[in-house]
Amino acid sequence: MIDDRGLDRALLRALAFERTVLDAGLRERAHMLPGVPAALALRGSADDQPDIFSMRCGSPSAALSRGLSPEDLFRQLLGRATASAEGRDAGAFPTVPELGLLAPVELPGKGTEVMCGVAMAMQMQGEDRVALHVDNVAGTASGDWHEGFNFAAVRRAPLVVVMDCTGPMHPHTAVDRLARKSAAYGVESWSVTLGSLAGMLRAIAEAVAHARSGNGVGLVEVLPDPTVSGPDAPSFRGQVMQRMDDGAEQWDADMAEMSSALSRVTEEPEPGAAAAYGGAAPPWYRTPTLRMPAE
Amino acid sequence: MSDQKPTRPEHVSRTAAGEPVTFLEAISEALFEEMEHDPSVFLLGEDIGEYGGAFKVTRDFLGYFGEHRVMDTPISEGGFTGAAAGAAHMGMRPVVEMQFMDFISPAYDVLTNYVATSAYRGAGALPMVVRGPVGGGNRGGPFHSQNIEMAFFHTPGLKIVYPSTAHDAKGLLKAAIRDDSPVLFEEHKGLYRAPWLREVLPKDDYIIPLGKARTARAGTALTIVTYGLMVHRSLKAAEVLAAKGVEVEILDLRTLLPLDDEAIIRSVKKTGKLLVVHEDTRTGGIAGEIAMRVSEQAFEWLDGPMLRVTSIDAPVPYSGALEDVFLPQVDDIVKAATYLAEY
Repeated sequence: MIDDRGLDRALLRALAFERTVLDAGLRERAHMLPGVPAALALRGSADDQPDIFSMRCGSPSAALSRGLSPEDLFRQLLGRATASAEGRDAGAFPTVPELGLLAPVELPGKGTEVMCGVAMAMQMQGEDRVALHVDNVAGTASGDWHEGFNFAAVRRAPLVVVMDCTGPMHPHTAVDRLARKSAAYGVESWSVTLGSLAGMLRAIAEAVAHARSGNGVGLVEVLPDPTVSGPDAPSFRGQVMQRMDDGAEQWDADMAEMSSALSRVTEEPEPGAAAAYGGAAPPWYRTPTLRMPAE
Repeated sequence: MSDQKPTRPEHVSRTAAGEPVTFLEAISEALFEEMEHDPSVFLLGEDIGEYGGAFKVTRDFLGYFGEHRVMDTPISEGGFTGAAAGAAHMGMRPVVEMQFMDFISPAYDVLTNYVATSAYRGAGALPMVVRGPVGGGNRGGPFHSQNIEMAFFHTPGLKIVYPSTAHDAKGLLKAAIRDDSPVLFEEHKGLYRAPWLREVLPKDDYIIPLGKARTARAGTALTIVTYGLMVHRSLKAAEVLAAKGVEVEILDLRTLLPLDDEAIIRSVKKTGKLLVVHEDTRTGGIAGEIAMRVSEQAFEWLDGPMLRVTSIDAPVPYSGALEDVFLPQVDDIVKAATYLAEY
């Protein structure tokens, strides 16, 4: 598993990416936690059988930590992607099998169902891979979240669900801690606070090891911390940089890399609709009628 | 534990023995053979393992294939359909059984929002089948008798198959399982054990391509476009009509999405008249779409109005007497066809 130094290094690079995204007006908020530590706790893309990671919507830097290039992410955010999304969306929803990335599910709670199936498939295929899904507490109110989580628990599927509980709980659930809910499903849980990045990485890694060992689903709840106002806040970056000997130099290098990547993508010609449809006219142009002229 | 391979269940070995099979046995054979040929094919649904399914389609499958490939699920149609999608992402070919297709409603969200859009979104094709019993006439009432095709017909990215014979059921289900798109596969309960549908199937592995209709009866007076159980009601009506000198052509759609426009238009251009017969309710039924396509592509060949015989716009009744009125009967088809033939 990645060490604390590596975690700080990855966090700083993710911060530089998010800063560039915010400065360019591509997104209004950054959501790098708990996605980045979660991405780093999994078996990586360099392995033959990478674990499968489905990040939370609006958390592209988690995909960066998984190995996706900044250029690919900027193309997606600009609606110019030609690899995974083929220029048809303006979010960041990459599916890249070789990196173990499955596009986040935008429908609250539904990602738990889908990732339950991903984990079950790996179980059926006799692989020791793990599926990890990041969601926030609002999703737990949906029937989909319950059905996916319950089914995964019943099947003892190698699934880890990392729940961001840093937002308000009360509109969504009557319990103050998801750990209590998790116990009712027969699922082991870990609780960490947003303030302890190393602790978050270790807790998620423990849940991953638990799932990989055939012990079934693990839930990690990430709780708020009054000392952390948000990953895009300067104080957060300052804390990370303070732990690094060469934090300032790394930050400058990362920002230069991101700025350069964004410039390159911005200068690329925009793919037109025909390119997005693989060179063919969109299918709705093809309806033949008697009285319309031939195309 | 014994190392001996479990015996192949008798009810999926009839074709190999040269014996006739029912519609239901044809479906069981298709599932069994696809699972034997392709280890990525697995089944999941409520009570399909120990119990063998509500209609026993998967009887004895659990002992043969094991619990990882014949998976009893919690009662959570949305959850296990979503899980099937996840497994399909990983290269598996799941076949989901809805105990009754009426229960597909909780999975509507995941099927239309997630599964149907996956390939389009760049998240990869999702090869999966959702199959189960549909249709009325069995006194099942509104929760166990519905036809669900039109709830999904409007969703690009899905395919919908609705066979009418044992031969077609087997060939189409195999094609659906091998297809890289998500396929909804409707099986009319009234056909499952109908003795008059028993037939000897080819011993060879065969598939029937999706999207291709078949001519169930050739004729010249008018075209009846139909599918499922209504193919057989239309064939009975055709015999009555033939006795009066009216020879109708019957087109069995087999696949509803995508529709076989070519076959429909070819037949309508030949006969000049169209009657659509479906068991699904009237408003928003497939007849409206077929009529529009014929209007767009063959209007000038028409010699009369396009008509439809359908169930009435109501939930499926509990009462048997009401259900008989609700469903299209042979007499209804004869009347509409006679009117159209004389037009």
